[in-house]
Amino acid sequence: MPGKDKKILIVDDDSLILDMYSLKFTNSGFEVESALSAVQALKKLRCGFTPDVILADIMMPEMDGLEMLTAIRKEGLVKGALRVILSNKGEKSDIEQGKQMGVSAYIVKSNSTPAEVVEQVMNLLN
Amino acid sequence: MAKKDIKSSNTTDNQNHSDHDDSYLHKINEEVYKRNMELAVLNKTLSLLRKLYQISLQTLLPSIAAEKMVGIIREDLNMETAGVFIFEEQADTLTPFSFSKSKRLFDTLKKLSFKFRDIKISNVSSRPFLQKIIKDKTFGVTENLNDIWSGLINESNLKALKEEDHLRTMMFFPLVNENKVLGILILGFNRDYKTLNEHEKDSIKSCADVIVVALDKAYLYKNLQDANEKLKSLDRLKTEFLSLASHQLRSPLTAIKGYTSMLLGGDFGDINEKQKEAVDRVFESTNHLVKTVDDLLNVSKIEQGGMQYIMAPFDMRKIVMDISADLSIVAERKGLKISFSSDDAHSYPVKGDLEKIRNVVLNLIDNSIKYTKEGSLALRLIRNNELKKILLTITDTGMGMTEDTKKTLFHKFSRGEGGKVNVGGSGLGLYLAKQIVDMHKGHVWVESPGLGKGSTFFLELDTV
Repeated sequence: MPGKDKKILIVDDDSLILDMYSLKFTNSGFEVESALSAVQALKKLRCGFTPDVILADIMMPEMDGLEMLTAIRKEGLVKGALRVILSNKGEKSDIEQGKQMGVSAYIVKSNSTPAEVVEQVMNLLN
Repeated sequence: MAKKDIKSSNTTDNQNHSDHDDSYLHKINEEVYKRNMELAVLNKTLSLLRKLYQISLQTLLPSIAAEKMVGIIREDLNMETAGVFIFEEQADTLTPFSFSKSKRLFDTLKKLSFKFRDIKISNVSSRPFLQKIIKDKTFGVTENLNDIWSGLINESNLKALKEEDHLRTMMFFPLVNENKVLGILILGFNRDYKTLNEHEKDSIKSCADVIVVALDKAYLYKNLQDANEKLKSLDRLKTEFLSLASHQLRSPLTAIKGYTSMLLGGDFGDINEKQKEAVDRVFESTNHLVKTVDDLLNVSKIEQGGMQYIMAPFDMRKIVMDISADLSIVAERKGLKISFSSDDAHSYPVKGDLEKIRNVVLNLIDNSIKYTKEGSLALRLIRNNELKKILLTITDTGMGMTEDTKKTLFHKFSRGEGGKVNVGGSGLGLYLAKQIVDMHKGHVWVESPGLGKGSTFFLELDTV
């Protein structure tokens, strides 16, 4: 199990996609917490969940993924966690914006299978 | 006496001759004067027409052309006012388009607080004087301002205009093109109509003819411009729609691709070979669809001018070798062999957008694999130090193409010979490749000896 003892928070407003990645990361040995919105994710972090990785979509209603990462940094919620963007917004400007916010990786969802996403996250953790 | 009589008779004769000569000379002088006047009018007309033609040639906007023309006509013909009404047949209305006024008429109008250009003449057919001009397409003249503006300009104002002797006579020329009345040229002056000689009347008529041509040309240009703007706006809408639709397509595609890959990977338990084969086909089709959506998005970005390029030096040899290794697996599945060679094993530096050039190379090689049933693909990198160019050639043993196909192969939605055989593709890959290479000031082209004889694709870029 490559992700054994690793915790991940997956945030996506599309339940189909959220379930898919949750299952894949669970099958890869991760302890998975999932959230259907940035607000829900922040709540989980404020309640004390300390993931090793935060995998977040960008386009979400109410609060987008980049705003959520800004809030996490401001509140100092999980200082050591890897932050990975998983989005279908694959423009160069989006990727640059993500990099400026200090994300570890920017993955375009439709270009990668869940197995490839797990592999990329594992590479980052290692 | 007789001598004297003779002398006297001679004197009378001389006197008679002299009177006759004087009268003859007088007549000649009169004729010369008249001709000179005519000549002066003709010269003036010629000069005015030349100016109007200049405006017609140089000005494409109807409003500006009309404004300049009525200004020049009024000044050169010493009119109090010159103006153009546009006739709207459906609305039965004459709409003021452009008016020029003398200083004193301007001052009077200011005092009376109204402008001709603010007064639209509706129900034209109910005004006999104007109706006749439009219906019969004939010139009209009146000394009664009520013929035109009754009910539109109050009586006291019309009286004031008359009394101040600015607008004693108003002339109306229909502006007719191809038997259709486009509008009316009006001229107002402070003389009686009968004081105008025939040449002056002809001169005014010529001006009306030039205005028709200029307005017609200007409207034609404006209509073209409007149509062009409409097309551009439709094109923008299409591109925006395409971009939105592509983004919306990506989410469900991610789910299909993700779940099928997990089915194949055993995340939902074991599946038998038959099921695996079917799921594999779904997976491959989804990948194809993802690529098509990406291509559509890139086309819309290029057409919106929103494609971003990050230029930096990179090694072309490494790019080609990496892609060649990746695509060897796909090629081997078809029984094809990919070989790679280069002039030397040093780096082949190119300055460009690494990801975009990678996609170009990928598209070119993938295209050759798609159109090659059996045989091989030979990739070769050539360095030209003199021209400071790097050339990649991709030679396949595939289906080749005709001369006609070559001409359109890099066009949008061109499927080449693929349209005739069962080869998948959106027809956007090579179009995108060309757009990207053009942005790098490089060249991409294809050569083929003919159908069934293979093809060679060339990609040439500047070396650093």
